[in-house]
Amino acid sequence: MSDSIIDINKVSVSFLQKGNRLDAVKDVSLSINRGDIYGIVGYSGAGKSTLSRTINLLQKPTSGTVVVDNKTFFDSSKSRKPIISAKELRIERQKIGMIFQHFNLLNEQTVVQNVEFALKHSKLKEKQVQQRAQKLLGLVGLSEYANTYPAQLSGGQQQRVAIARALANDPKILISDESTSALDPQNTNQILDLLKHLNLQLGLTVILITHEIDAVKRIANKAAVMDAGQIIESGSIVDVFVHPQKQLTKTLIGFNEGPKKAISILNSNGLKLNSNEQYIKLTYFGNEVSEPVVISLYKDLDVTANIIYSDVDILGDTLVGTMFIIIEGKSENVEEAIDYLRQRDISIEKLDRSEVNS
Amino acid sequence: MSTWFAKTFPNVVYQGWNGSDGWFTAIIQTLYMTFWPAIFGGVLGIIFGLGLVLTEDGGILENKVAFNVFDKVVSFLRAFPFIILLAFIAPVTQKIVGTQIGTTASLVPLSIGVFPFYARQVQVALKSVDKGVIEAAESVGATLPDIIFDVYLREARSEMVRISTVTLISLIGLTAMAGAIGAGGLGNMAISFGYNRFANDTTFVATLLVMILVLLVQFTGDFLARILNHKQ
Repeated sequence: MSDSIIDINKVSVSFLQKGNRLDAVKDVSLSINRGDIYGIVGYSGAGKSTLSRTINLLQKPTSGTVVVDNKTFFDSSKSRKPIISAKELRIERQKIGMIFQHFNLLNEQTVVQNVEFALKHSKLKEKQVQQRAQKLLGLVGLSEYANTYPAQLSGGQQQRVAIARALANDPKILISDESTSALDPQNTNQILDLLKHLNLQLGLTVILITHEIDAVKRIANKAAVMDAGQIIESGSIVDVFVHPQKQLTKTLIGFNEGPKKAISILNSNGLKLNSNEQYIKLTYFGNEVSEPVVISLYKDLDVTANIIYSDVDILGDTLVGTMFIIIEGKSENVEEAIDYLRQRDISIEKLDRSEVNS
Repeated sequence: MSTWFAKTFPNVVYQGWNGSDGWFTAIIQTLYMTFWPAIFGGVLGIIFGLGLVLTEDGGILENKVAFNVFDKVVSFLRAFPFIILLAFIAPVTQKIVGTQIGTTASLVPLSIGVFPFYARQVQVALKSVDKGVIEAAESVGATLPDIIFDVYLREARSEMVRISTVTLISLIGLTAMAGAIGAGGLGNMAISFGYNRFANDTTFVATLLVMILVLLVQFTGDFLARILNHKQ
């Protein structure tokens, strides 16, 4: 048995809009493991939210199967309605917390009442409900705001209340639907770090739906890219962000944008490549240190490396360095240099001029 | 003072305080004709308003047939001018309260006259509740009653007070017409004992009393709507 907690298989969702069929999600399969922080990225309208809503059946799929924690919620080959009863679904939903872009708190109830609302159908006694709600508010750092109304809080604080509410019933899964998109950068990072903290502390599986690439880079360990209702690329964040395959992914994550800009500026300033010069992109992980490598190219291998652009990206806990260089030397020396770099786990990409100039 | 009053408002004094044509009786009748239809019409209006919102496209109990039934009933009943409704449903009134005339008989057409008006406004008030909040409630396992009472009605409570105020005031207006079936009240006082008898002072005082009642309702409604609103 796999360790997956969410298994979505060939799920499609279509809507009828004024007689036209709109396919929001097309034949998507997705498997999310326990303890993952799984980023789902894509432009607006790509179907990310719709897909995420099929997990707790807030959105009923048109076809496919949805299995959460080894329980089949939906299987279109058996029934067009959910497999589990409405009552069971309500109980299952308590194990799947959800937070939203606009927080969606009850405005006419206080912060603590908002959390208690989620505990209304738990088996806890009234006293325990109060204690639990207070504990949750403590967890998100809002104990002193228990009796205020949501409208009196800042966006970041409101989202914390929403997180406390989502965690009320000890969920195993938390779906974050653009939960930081309405927040300023500082609050965004605080909320993301809180999600990461909950992931580590409670073993919570987090599904992070967002169009903000930085959010995924910051906390996710896996990512999927959606476009026009389909997942076009998925894998570990290193796979997706360092070796993107699809053009849309590259555009979405701004792949090589910085270096391309740098090169185009250099080009417009009259930089020309000689026949013995070549653009090379180096990508290295973790503790590889770039500087001595470049120096030893010159010292030991008789090639020069002119650094055009250099950047270090942090993907979760992984440092990813990117360097664009112009390498110059005799062709056999260049080949030798490339072998030398590859031996040091530096991935090399030779770039031809048209690619760089595009 | 009292002699000045008796001179300026002779017909008002002539009507007397108690007695079947007295001012006290008229006030009580108006309150009676406002109170019960507000309860009956209010409950019906909330049921229909909820029905419309819950069964509409994308509602949590989406159901085209049910929505159409609610929608058509409300539209149909709203199309009646109230004065015609009074006469039109007289047989129904007879069945329910055993008579077609008098104050109690007026409760039936007043309730039926006010509820579709209220239902439409309840529909608008409840639609103002953010769909996302309902979704969030569903995501924590809320039941239908939770969503109706804790989300829809509670989130929209300030708006509900506001529309109830408007409805109550328009209901007070309708009670004046109920005089046409002998229901009494301040409206009847103003028309039958005032206008029809060229007793302008009676019309004036009856109107003034209705205005005071309306202002009291408005004031109370505004106050409640304000303190019940935490959306800012």
